[in-house]
Amino acid sequence: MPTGSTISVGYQDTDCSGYDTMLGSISATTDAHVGTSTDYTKKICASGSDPVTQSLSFAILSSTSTSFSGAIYFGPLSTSQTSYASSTNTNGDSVETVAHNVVVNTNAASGFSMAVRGNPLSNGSHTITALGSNTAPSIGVEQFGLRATVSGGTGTVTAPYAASGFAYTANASTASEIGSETTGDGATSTYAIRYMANIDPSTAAGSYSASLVYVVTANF
Amino acid sequence: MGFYKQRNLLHGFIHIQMSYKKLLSVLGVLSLTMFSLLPLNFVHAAAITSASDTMSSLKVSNNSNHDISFVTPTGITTGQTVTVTFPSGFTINASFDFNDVDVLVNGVQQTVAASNGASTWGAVRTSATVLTLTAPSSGTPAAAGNTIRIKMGTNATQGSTGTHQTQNDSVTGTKVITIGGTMADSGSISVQLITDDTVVLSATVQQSISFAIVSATSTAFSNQIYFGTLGSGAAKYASSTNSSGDTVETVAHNLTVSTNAPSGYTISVQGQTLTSQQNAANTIDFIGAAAAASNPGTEQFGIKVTASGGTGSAVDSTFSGNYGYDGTATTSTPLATGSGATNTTTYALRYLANIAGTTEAGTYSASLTYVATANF
Repeated sequence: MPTGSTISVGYQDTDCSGYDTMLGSISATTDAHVGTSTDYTKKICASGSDPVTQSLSFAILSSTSTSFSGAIYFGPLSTSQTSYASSTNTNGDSVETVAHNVVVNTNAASGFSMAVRGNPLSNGSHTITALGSNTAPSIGVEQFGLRATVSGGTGTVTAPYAASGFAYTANASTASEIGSETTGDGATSTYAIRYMANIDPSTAAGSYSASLVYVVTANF
Repeated sequence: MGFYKQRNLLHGFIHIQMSYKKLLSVLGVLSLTMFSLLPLNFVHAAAITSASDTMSSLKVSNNSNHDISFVTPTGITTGQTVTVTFPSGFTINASFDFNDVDVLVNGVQQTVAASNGASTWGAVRTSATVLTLTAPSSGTPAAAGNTIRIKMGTNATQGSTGTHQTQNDSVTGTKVITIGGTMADSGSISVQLITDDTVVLSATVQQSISFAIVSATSTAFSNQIYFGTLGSGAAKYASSTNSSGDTVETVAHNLTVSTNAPSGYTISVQGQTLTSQQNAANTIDFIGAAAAASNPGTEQFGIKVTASGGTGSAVDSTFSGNYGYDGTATTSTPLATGSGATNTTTYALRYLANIAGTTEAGTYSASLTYVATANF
């Protein structure tokens, strides 16, 4: 068998169903005498398997799945309209738009988890209110949130980011899961991320920013 | 061959009953043979399962925490080691020690020190790429099927919080972390390093103040309010909808203000009191800075203001609780202030006019200018 192959040996009564071959038999599970395949009821069984190389790929890409600078823009926020972040328009967008994609692919037996971590938009002394649950945009009310859709593979979007509204429950020290896959299928799941912000008349003036770290964990 | 000997001996054992001499010789051979055929105990070793490593940063060359979790199908016995081996290119901080490590077994926080003890795990940075944990020297460190969780870095908070992390490789791609040691089970966990794991959002908020003179009923407002005919027998209150004015107190119009100025705002009013258009020397006396109640038969012109909504609003004492007015054609007087940024505050204004029996006849009017100033 090639390097890295796995040979599993076990024992069970009567036969070696579920295994590749029978090696012999034993009289008991401890302090046992060993015999041929027919000497004792408890059989020694074995199976071999070729090595399966773990695979995992993860990337943050533009909304067209090309190379991405990592910068997205809301531009000037307004009390009279909702703003959506854009990677191409430094003034942001007035209609919902995909800011960037996150792509994940793995063969891990228990799939993957994709999460985000970081504080919401802040000017250093004032933080725009993050939405704790999936909420529709409301003009004139302080809001910050994101939502995601997924295509390809068997990845899914995790609540509260899956519905039509926006949410953001992470902070600088606590990550929030955006998507996951229960079984690695080796197919690429593409998450399209959208960001939304609204302000109210009392939202402090200034330059706001947020640095959001994306983390993917495969569960082998 | 051992199996064959065993079988012959068994057959020989059956014949023992035939003679005592043969019995002794057979037993002797039997004992020698049995000595060489040691009792067989099967030791099971397996691959770790449900294995993952949640890192705090997947960016090349960044320092990162690791939160490693796996199931040990066989379990961990006393004194066995568990090693976490990073691939070449990773560097466990040179000062990394047991204070930077948390160990949990099935969710139960373990005691960790530089070396193991009866109920303590030892944690040692064996090399730049290897962390070695040594299981406690007594008890059952981990039973078969238990989940082992190893936190490495500033995420290790048991006792003191860790201060040292592991630096990522400088090359992107899939990296394989190996779990091993003298424990029976072993395995690997893959992570993916990328050029940059961070998305940076930017936005701006401009300074703003919003101020308006509006009707009291959210309808269009012409900025005209009417007292109608004044009499010395009863007070009159200005109305935006009744050209005859009102005989009861009524809100003539509103002022609305909102701002993100951190030091709030000031609203002031300026203008001469009701003045005769036939003879500018004839005016209806304004009440003054001290607010006063309506007093029919006495010349009075004044304004009363109440506030609602927003935060931090305060009506000037001249206009609060009763009627007052001390502005002139050339001098403004403060009407209200806000202490900080606020959503919309609505000020409701009521105008009072009383005349005396000697007040000169004529058509009287007043033009009042309202100004809102934000204090950034």
